[in-house]
Amino acid sequence: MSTKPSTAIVRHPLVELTRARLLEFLRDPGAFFWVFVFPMLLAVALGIAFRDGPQTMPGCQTICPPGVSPVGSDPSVRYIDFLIPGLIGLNVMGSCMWGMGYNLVDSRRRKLLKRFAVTPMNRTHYLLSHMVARLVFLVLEVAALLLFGMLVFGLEIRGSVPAVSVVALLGTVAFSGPALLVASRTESTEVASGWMNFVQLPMWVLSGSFFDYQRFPEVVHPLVRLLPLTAMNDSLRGLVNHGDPLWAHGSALLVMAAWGIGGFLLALRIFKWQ
Amino acid sequence: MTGGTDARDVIVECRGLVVRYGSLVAVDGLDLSVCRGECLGLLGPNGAGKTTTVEVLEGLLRPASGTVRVFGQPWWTSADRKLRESIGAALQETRLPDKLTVAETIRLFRSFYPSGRTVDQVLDLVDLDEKRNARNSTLSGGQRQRLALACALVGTPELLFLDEPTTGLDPAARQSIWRLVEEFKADGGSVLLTTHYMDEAARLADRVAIMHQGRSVAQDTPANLVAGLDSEEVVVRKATLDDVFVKLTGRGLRDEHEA
Repeated sequence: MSTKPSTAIVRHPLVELTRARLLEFLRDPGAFFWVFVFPMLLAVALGIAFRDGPQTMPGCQTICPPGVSPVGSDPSVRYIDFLIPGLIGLNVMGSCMWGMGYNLVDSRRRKLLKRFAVTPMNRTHYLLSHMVARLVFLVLEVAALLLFGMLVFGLEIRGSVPAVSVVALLGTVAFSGPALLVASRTESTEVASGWMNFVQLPMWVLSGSFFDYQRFPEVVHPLVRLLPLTAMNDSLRGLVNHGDPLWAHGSALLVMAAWGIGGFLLALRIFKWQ
Repeated sequence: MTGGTDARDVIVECRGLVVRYGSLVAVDGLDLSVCRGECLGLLGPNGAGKTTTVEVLEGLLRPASGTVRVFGQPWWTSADRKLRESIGAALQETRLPDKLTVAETIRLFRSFYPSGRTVDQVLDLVDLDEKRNARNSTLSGGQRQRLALACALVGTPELLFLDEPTTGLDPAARQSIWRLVEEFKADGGSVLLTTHYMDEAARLADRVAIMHQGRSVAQDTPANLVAGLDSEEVVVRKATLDDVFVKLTGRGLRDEHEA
């Protein structure tokens, strides 16, 4: 070949892959709305609706017996204080599933994965870049929601900010595993969407984002605590609402790490590149 | 059936290639080779097994049986990544990310290779410099194909896989792609090209393999294939590869109906 190879600076492929992911997201106005604006709107709506607590809800007697607050026994924790960590959890789960999972399936559908597979690109780098990009957005998403809660509703963060960051980070890792698994084989965005809803819906209901899951029969509590969203909600609430130290939620952190690492490793094995 | 390969450096070779999708046999005992500096054209209708063959040769699909060697190495070993450093591909169905610009896309592909051209060099090569900051979604068909070639050439490959590189393009765009491929060959590169277009095969390919139902029914230079037709069958005009193709695949179809 007569053209000499260049010696210009070329960045690491993981950096370039992550940069490409970030640029694609930032140039997608729909994604921006769902990740940043929607959770705030939800917080405002629910915060206003339950400003006096759910005791004012019609038919409430069956779900909140007199004297028992649905958010637990601590009277200083208002519903909005209970809700915001739950919304953060839902937001991180949703943005991982749709931001990572859907994008991967779409890339497969566009034969882009197949094109990448012909290059010397390290396949672990490709999957990792999605997770790293998610972590970058995570900082913005969580900070935005917490700040919003503090400014609009006077939310008090009783735990340490580094500890809250660790939980948020682990939460992203935790949801990345299932997101990658759901996206590992199909090239149909409809099938993938179905699976993502199927995976998220039980956690929307069971994991305690909107109300305490203790209200469910005790026999299901151990199973519910194994769900990644429950682990994130529990640990985040413990830190934000009660000022718990990080180590007090060791089992929840372990659950999140297991979902993330286990899911990632399994996805890497079964991932279809064409 | 095979012709034209000799003691020259064979950089792509498959022998007795068989690929199955469940009970469907997509490739049924195929022998192929590409020598250094040559362009082999794979001609055939949809379903002939061209794409499947190329995927096996690119190391994306495992065959049921047969041997495959690229630069003398088999695929599916720990040396795969090293092999991929010498290969480029422009695949017909690929849709590059809509929201990235031309320069960003090339930059991304460049990062996968330990050495290669700069983004500026490649933009100049494919004549897309004025579109460097345009988003991929705004490109015309011809520009998209030049971008695909840019991404294929950015790692200075020795071997190019081109899958239907000018399908759907206007004549001027086709000519510009052909010129790029000819320049690549003139620089010593080798090409495996799949195409529906007989004129493309006749122009770019040093040898042509005609595929039909998973097999190669003829492999030779375009001139030899055309010369091998019975002269009584072509009386009105000069014979072309079209005639070769119709004759070879038409005969196959008739045989099956009579069986």
